[in-house]
Amino acid sequence: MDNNTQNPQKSTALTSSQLAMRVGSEFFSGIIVGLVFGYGIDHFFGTKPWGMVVMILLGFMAGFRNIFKLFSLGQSTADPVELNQNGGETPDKISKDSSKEEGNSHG
Amino acid sequence: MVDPLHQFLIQPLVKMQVGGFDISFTNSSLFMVLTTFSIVAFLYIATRSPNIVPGRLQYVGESSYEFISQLIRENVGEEGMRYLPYVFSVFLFVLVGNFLGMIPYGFTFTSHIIVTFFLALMVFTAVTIIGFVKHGTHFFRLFCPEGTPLYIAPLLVPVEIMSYFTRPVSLSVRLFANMMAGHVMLKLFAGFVVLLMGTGVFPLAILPFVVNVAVIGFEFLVATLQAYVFTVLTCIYLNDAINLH
Repeated sequence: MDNNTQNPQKSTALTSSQLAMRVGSEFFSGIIVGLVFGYGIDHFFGTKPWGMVVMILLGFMAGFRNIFKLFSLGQSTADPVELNQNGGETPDKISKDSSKEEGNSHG
Repeated sequence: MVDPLHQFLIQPLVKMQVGGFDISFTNSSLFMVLTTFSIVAFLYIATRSPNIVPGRLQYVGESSYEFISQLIRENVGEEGMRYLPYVFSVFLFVLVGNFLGMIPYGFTFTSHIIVTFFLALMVFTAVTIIGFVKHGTHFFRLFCPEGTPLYIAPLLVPVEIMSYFTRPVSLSVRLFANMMAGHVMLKLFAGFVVLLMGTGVFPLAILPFVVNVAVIGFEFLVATLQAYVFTVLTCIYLNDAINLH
């Protein structure tokens, strides 16, 4: 039992189909959340279409940020929580840089 | 008969209307009630006559409890143990719901996004409230990781906030998409068998049949795995709220 509780995480977190599924859902949900928030902001503040434009871009970035977090979580074999705390340095930098670039190109 | 989406149709069994809202008791509700009852019955029978040396059923019941309690201990720590009843319930509800959906003529309520979304939204709301109660305004530190340069903060903080709100969506989409895709695939291959049987090359019908048998085995794996993933992510979110980092 002790071994069983550990193994599914390690063996399944790295299978490519599961990883692909997770990447897809993270990215999809980022854009969906941006869409819903943008729609809400436009509806209540009458800022059509700028709320949606900005929020979808932010959701897009959030989706990518989630994917970077996911990969920092999947690459090492250690506990996922520890990875969240310690191992996120390189992906953090990458995502900061990329979001900065995106911000520059769009802003 | 070969319509692969027909199995997800919600059919009202007992029609009810309260204040203009349709609250009919549907086949989805029926399977949720069945899920709850089978969990309660299973745990009741498993713990009815506890022995030092557990019997088969008692062993299954105890190891499912131990499995979740260890998951929480690893991912959250001792402080998370007080949320064990909730995490354990969510795990069993999703797992047994997925399994009941595997019974022929059964209905998989986890293949409806509104069900999984509200399960995820409950986790999200609970975790947010726990975070605010435990840390007050310090909880906002979650949106601004330590060591963030000041010039990047105006962009990073909104992105982190958005990323926080994507949690319930990605949690629910993952469970829903896996369950629905699997059941559509089952029905499609079953449909191929029926269609091929009516043609001149009917011996070929054995091919999709063999695939379908394999897919059924795979579906049981997916049902377990998705319940597990849902629970692990609940624990990880709980950890974020309790041990703010």
